[in-house]
Amino acid sequence: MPEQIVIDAVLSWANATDFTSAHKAVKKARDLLSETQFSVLISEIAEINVESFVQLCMPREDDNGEAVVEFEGVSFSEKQAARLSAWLSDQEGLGEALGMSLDSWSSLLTNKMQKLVTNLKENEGINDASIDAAQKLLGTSSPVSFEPRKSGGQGFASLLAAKSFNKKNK
Amino acid sequence: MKFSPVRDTLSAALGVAPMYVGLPPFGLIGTAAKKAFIKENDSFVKKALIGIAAMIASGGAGLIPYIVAAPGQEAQKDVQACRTEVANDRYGQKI
Repeated sequence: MPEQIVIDAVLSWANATDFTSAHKAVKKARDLLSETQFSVLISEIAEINVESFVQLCMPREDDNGEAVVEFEGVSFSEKQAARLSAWLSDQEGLGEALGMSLDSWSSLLTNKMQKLVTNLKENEGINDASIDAAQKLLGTSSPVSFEPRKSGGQGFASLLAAKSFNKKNK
Repeated sequence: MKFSPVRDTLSAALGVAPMYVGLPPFGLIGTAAKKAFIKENDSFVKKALIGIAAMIASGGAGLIPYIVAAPGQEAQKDVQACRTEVANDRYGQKI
């Protein structure tokens, strides 16, 4: 468990009412915390952020009955897609508030996602080929059936690159 | 989903855009993932894990129409509420 001062800083970020306030809370923490404490803060925020990403992917009761987007074998409602888009839109600002480049931040998110998937395998009883497949897809190794990526990053980097690419082309 | 000329045109254009910068067309990655790893009788959680991972690996190609669109206030509130819940659960705080 992190020091209380770090937990307080994380909760200030998590309990902020909007993204802008959340970024301000992080910047404030940079001034208050030591370098070591701030590195713990970054790790904690990344883990909470990734877990939130997964939860936002999951369907909710009030998502039912809507038109869905078929995506990679899983049906997403428009509301799910909107939640994920909102999550993505926050990442550039959050990484900046943490003093990290988008590449570094997305790389850390991918590592935390790997850790979360591993945790699901070890502690949540989801223990089959789907976990191994998810881990492979997340970037540490490529399934045999996949063409190797030439560029564009791995893991969250590709997702965030898509967001940045689209923003530039608005 | 209703047809939207602006969204669907952007979607089609952005779907093939990666090919012009040396990347494979993302949709093929998703198709490969679906064929290789997902069975019809898998639970939603298992499917979702693959879906989430494939979404990350493919740069969110299937969600591009929504990535293009600016997120609404309601969706932003959903994100913040989710973080609050996860963080408070993590540290045993009362919401």
